[in-house]
Amino acid sequence: MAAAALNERLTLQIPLPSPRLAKIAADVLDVDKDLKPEVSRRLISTQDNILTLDFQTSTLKLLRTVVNSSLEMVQMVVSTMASFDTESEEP
Amino acid sequence: MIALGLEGSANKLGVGLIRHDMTTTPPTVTILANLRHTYHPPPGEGFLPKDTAQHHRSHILQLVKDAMAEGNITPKDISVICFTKGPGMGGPLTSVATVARTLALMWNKELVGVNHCVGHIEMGRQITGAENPVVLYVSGGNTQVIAYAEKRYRIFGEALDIAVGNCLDRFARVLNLPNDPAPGYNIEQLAKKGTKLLDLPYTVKGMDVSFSGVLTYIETNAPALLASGEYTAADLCFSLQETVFAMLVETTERAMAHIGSKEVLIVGGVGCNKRLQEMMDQMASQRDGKVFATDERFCIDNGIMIAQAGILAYQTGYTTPLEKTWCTQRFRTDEVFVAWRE
Repeated sequence: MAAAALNERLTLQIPLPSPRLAKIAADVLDVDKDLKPEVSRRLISTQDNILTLDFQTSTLKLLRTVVNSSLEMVQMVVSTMASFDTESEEP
Repeated sequence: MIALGLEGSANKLGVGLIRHDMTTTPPTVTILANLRHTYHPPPGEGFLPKDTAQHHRSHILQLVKDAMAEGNITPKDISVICFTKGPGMGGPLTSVATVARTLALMWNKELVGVNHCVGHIEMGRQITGAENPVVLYVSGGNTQVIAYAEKRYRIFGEALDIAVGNCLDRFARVLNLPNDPAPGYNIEQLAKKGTKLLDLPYTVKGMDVSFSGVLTYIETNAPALLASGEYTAADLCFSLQETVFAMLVETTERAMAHIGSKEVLIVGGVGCNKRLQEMMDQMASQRDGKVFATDERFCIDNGIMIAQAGILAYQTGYTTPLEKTWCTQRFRTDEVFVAWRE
């Protein structure tokens, strides 16, 4: 049986306040690996303060699912940073 | 040293702050904050992973802020951040772990992933001072009879299908009892008014127990029994509790006999149940033994137990590297190396 072609793609570029926070967000999110890499993959990278999420899935439904759940976690990371980042307070 | 503990494996979201003053022997343990926010679905329903995860995400930041305010703690005071690695529901666990990781990286703190069951045990030990008890861990998600031996919490017996709390919670839905504060609590209150005992399937298999049969039986027959007027809802709650609790007392007694223990420690949300404590006490007294239990602050899922179990591990040099801070729905109690005990 041929492997599923991951033809459905989406790239999200999310600006964070600083390169430091973008790297933290990337490291936090990347801990959770793809549940079924043969049909759904997420690649995380940073460039300066931009967090990039590259999604590749075999179906549109899977794409919606993985993008939605990723955004929920991104929202959690970003609001945690907004509430609790201490470095920005230091002189 | 001070540990922050984050718990969210089921519908209870807990944040705890604990201090271990290392200048005394043994260290003096102080609870600085123990806050909880619970997700209650409407009567007749159970809590689903997606809604539960969303609840946790909505409330966790405020809960952490409140805990730090109550404990008068700033980030620099915190030595380690502990979180529930598992077992439990995937989405809720990961939502909470994500916050733990973010805080740890921003504040430059170590992380400790904690086994939820070990958290219950260690908090029970800390609060009650029980020396080396047989532990009955009973909740909506878990039912295990546990005893410590050679650096591990060994599972002597367990539920083969569903947890006792799950059985009770699902029966509460049949009766349309409120889920606030907890379905099991409402069953307990209603059971107090019950007088007639219905003969229900009783399933103990050696050291293990099974609840799916008694649940199917009572779910199937309750409507007819109630309609006939032969039994009230209170009678059914009473009958279910008497039956499932007797099963738990039997297997706990068997474990006590095996290892020659005179102590029982009951932990987990179902451990709040006064009738269970009473029945266990009757058995234990007959064996010249004693029952230890905690109140709802520590029985029900909470963040302080995660901080406690986490800080004990941390003191032995244990930390969880970031790449290993993923969560898992299945995490056996005996997988944990209990380095902090003899």
